[in-house]
Amino acid sequence: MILNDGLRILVDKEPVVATHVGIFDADNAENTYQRYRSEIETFVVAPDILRYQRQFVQTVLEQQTTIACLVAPFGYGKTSTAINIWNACQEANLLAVPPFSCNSIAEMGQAIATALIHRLESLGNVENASEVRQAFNKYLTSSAKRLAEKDAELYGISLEVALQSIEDKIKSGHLQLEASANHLLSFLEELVAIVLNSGFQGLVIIVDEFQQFLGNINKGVITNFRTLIWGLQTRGELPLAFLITMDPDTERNLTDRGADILHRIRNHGLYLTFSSIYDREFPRELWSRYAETFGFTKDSANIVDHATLESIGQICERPDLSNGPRTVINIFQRIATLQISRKQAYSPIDLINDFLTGDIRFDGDRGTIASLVNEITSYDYIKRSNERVETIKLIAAFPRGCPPEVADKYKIREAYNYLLDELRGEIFVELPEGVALVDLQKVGKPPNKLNIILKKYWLQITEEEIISDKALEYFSKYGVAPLFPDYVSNQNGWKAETDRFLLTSSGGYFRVYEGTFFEEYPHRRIAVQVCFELENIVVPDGYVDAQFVFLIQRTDVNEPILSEDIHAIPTYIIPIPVHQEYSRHLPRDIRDIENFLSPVVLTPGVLVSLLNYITEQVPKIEGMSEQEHQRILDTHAKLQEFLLTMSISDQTFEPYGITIYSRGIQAFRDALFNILRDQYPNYQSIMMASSWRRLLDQYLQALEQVNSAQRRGIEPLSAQKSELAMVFELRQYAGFESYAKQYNGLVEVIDWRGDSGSIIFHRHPQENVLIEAISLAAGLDEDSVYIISRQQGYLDEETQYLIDFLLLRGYIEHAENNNRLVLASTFTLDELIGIARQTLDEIEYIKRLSSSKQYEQLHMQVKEILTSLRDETIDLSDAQVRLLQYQRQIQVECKQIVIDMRATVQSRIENLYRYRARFDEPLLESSTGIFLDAHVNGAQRTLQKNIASLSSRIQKRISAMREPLEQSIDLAVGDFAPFESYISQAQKQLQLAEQEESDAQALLEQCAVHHDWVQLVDRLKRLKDMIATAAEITDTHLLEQTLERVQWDMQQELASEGLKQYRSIYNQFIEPINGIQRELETLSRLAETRSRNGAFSHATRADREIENQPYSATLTASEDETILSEQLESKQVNLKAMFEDSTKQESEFLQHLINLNETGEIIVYQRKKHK
Amino acid sequence: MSKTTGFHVRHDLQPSFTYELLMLLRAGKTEQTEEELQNAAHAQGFMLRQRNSYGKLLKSLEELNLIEKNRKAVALTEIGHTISEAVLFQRPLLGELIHVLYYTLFDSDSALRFSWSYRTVCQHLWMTAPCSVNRDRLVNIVTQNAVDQFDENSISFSTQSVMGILYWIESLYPNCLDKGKTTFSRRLYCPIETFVLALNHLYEQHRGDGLSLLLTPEIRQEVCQICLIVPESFQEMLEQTETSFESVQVRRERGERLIMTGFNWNFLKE
Repeated sequence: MILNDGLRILVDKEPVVATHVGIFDADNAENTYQRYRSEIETFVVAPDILRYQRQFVQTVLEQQTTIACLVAPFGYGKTSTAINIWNACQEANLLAVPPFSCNSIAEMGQAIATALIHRLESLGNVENASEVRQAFNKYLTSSAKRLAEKDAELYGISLEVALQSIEDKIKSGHLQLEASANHLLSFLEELVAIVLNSGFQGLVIIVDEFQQFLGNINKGVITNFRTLIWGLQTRGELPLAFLITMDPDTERNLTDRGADILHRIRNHGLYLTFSSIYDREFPRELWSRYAETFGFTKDSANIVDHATLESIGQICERPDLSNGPRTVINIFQRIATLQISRKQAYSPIDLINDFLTGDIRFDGDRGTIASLVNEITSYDYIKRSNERVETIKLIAAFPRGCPPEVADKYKIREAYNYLLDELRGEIFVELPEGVALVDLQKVGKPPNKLNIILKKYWLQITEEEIISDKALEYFSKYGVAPLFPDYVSNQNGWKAETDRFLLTSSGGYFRVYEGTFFEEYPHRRIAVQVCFELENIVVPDGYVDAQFVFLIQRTDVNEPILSEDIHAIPTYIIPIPVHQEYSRHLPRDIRDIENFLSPVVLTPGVLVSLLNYITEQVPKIEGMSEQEHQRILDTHAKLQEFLLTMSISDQTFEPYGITIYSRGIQAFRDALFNILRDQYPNYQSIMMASSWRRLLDQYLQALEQVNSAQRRGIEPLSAQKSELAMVFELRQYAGFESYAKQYNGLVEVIDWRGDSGSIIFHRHPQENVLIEAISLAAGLDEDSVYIISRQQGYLDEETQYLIDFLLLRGYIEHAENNNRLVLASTFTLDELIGIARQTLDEIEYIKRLSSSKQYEQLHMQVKEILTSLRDETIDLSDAQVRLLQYQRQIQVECKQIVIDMRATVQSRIENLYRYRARFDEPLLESSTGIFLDAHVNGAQRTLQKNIASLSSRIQKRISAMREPLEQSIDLAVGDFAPFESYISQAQKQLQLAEQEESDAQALLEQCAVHHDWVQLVDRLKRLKDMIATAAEITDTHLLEQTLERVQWDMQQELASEGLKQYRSIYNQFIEPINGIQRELETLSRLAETRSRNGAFSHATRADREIENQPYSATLTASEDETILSEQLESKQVNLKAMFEDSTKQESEFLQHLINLNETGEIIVYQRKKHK
Repeated sequence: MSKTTGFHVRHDLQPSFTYELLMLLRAGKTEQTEEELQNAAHAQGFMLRQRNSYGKLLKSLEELNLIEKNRKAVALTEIGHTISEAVLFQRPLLGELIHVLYYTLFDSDSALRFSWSYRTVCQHLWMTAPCSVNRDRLVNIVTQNAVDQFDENSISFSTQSVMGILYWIESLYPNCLDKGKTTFSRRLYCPIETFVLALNHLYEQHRGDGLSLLLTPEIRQEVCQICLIVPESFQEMLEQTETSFESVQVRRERGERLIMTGFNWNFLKE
């Protein structure tokens, strides 16, 4: 056979082998046989089919009733396979009815009967052919006879005519009489007997395209089919085979309506679904078979090369791109046709061109390749170069990937490489076998960019990726990091200490987060580790509150893993079975992803790998709309949410006795709260607000401004509201109550009415804990205090403030020798009782110095403490503080007392100086020449001596008082004894100074008396002189005697008493002397008057008047002289006469005076008028 | 019809509190007292522990038919249980589901006036989108509409009520409100659960005795208003819903006709 002959046979070969329909008569039977034989020649039997075929034949030969079924999509060679089985049966001496299709039992019976008659007659076995005909008439045309009998009776025609009419209609197909399956079964039974009699080993019925028979699969059809199959089953040892073929849709419908029928067919073990048995090798094998059959083996490779056959194989293995073997044959016919005319090897590019032109008719019914290539090659970017177009076509011909060598072969390698670089991801995908079009992959045409990413992911996902170390990194990134939301404030959010999870030396991943979810637990430090084995866990630096280990398990683990604290760190292990399929579907929005990934199942490993892939791919996608971008991010977020929700469930922490009600981030948050609460049951943070540091600094400053008792909360701090606010550096007191509440009890407003208020400072509970710890350890260094505090949940910053509070409150102090924190020194009970008593004494002492009532209250308070101390009902430290507080009050008072004392002493000194200055004035001496001079001057000398003496004493006193004055400047009031000594000394000096002053006052008094004495003696001298003068005009003898007597008496008194009674003696004699002087003066005036007027009577009257003058007159000598001289110079007048001429009416008083004047009781003088 | 409620949408019922209450009620025994809920919230470190009383929260949940009261004890209703199960796995759905409830309850019970206020605000925002969120203006609109709708001249509805509504609109994802909560925009799409619930609501409201509902432009707009999405996304969302739910069918003969057979909220558990 020459090449073209063989190829023409191939060209003429129908891609679709027509199945015989209807009866087998002389006209059509030979055609059918011819067509079937031709198909047999070019049919390539797949190994699976060959195996099936042999089993089928063998079963019949073993005289078993056989029911068989072939299922495949259209184009997959069901008919060809059936024909090949028919041929095999014939070769095995079985009488096989060639594959046919029918619409009913009747048609089936007719086809079987006619086929057998045709076959037997062709073998010359007329007798058996006649038996077949009889049997057919017996079982399947009896119904026609009955119908003919009815027609003959009804229409009055003969039975023969009626029967002939019906049979003609049946033959022409215009009438179908429904035969029952039972009739067919009986017919087949009889046929088997005939066949065996004819020398065959058995009978084989092959019904192709069984969907034709089933039609719309109504109840009657199903019933007949069920009866047929069930009936065949009951004929177990009949060498009868019944083979049907159908497409998958029919199979599905039959399953819905008559699953029991299919189950019975399957029970025979000859049920073959062979859509997948035509793999990519099929075209190569078929072409080889054709080459052998049609004699062009030598030219085979020149007609179609290996790459093209591979391309056809890759397309035809895909039901979505082809119609399987039918497409292969269609392509081969096209190859043969072209070869005859152009003598050129058929290439993959030719193949795609034929898809585009429609020369390949069987393209999977969707034209996927053609539409895709059309779309891509329509881009300007592609179509501007023919090489690019060719390259697209070449690559499109290889859905599994076009190797670069093929591009080399067709001389478009350069364009191949260029386009791959440019379009990788968008258009092309690199597969293990080469480059392919993304859109030709199994996942179908992508509706959006997300689907592109998913497809690409599906293409590149490998088992290695999921189980490799990358799983740790990915899980860290997508399964752990989102558990710690970003930092917002001290009360909310987290900061990672490193910019990413760090790979540890043991192969795990590690990161520390600082932050919190809860305001009760600020600034927590949490270590997170992601590893494959517990041995991979590393020790974090520094203190961490808790550690979470995400244990990525590569094998299924049934029992929960519970860890003890690792390295003394509370550790919680969260197992993540990375290969375990999720028990729950993805959310509906993204559930399609599961289909995209199929057959890969969704596991934690796959999910984190996919999340990472999406993250990496998104920035690489160009021209993405905002909506697409948003949707991808949304999908990513939902996938991540799903990962977290499934990784941490409400049971995750159950092994640790932690009950939580939620999943995902919320579950992690709730678990952490439980962990922190259990770990730090007594923790009360002092980081109260975002401005906690400023608040605590203000608190410290406030403590510094108040006294010890107030710092300890022993006493409230009461003041004006504005002053209280200022203690905390607040300029306004409005809102102070709310401000104070921020301190969570460290300071409490206990009164806030009117203009004033009271607050009280409280210790933080942890301060008590630290006091106890320091006490028990008899002192701790600060680092130890921090560690103790940290174990109870307190941060170093908090502990620093707590230590500062304790130092300020005076509970602890730094030891002088080693700077350790120790309890502040406290007196013993006895010592404190002693101090209290002493304080009481001091108060008593001060009370004597001051009249203030506050000492009464102070005295009472100290007495209370003393009582409490005796009863041992007070904390010694508190008692000490309070006593110290009272002592400070006393010290303040003492200071004031000293100041007052200084002023007093200073004042006394000034007084003394003043006295001393007055003593500097010399005392007068008397120099009248009378004897009294001696006495007075004697007194003067004595006084002068006393002055000198007292001046000296004052000087000494001043000097003595200067000493306490100077002492007071440096006097430390902290110690009561010096104060007391000072006060005592000062008081003594003041007392002495007072004495000096008193003496000085007395001495000054005496000096004043002395001065009077000098004056008095001088008067005496003058009196004596006046008496001597007066004696010239009057009798002064008596006065002279009186004066002498007085003078004598004075001498006697002075001589006997002297300075002692200096004043009293003076006072004793001053009045008599005054009297003498007045009398003398009167006598003198009278004497002068008489000498001028000669009226002696007047003198007598004047004497009497003088005598009547009281001694107590106080006129001075000059005044007396003036009056006397005026009297002498005036004229006596008569009042009565004086007022006789007056026209005015006399008053009663004037009348009285006139009467007195007339009786001489009063004398009236008229003053001489001066010129 | 239940007792007529006020127009006020309680601002106390914030999404975080709602989530925590649902979790407590889901996990605890069938009925729990407020005190028991408070104890559990404190034990869990829930944000609820900052509240002294849960009375208003529970009242709101009761009005939304998520819980039922039995003297002092409360328990989840069937729908409450379904929602709590759903949000256990998909917390972002909480805002969507409560939004749908708030929006649609008025149609099934006209005594629930707070639901009418909620939808009135949402509809105004949707109709005027993109728009700035002026709370006083929204108060005026609700009070004016209340006069027309109910002949009520003095209703209890304030900016606090608007806040109660905005809390839930803010919780939707994709977002309708910008970060500053000052501008409202329609969403480009919404979770499929929201969309199918909106479809079902309108299907039940409008289908009457028929099996199918013609998706008229009015129905489509109503769905978009409930979901707060742009109308352009309706078709895509419809197709996605059709492929995601077996109980949702769209017949495309003489227009698109919606058929929802055997649909209920239990799909949220699947």
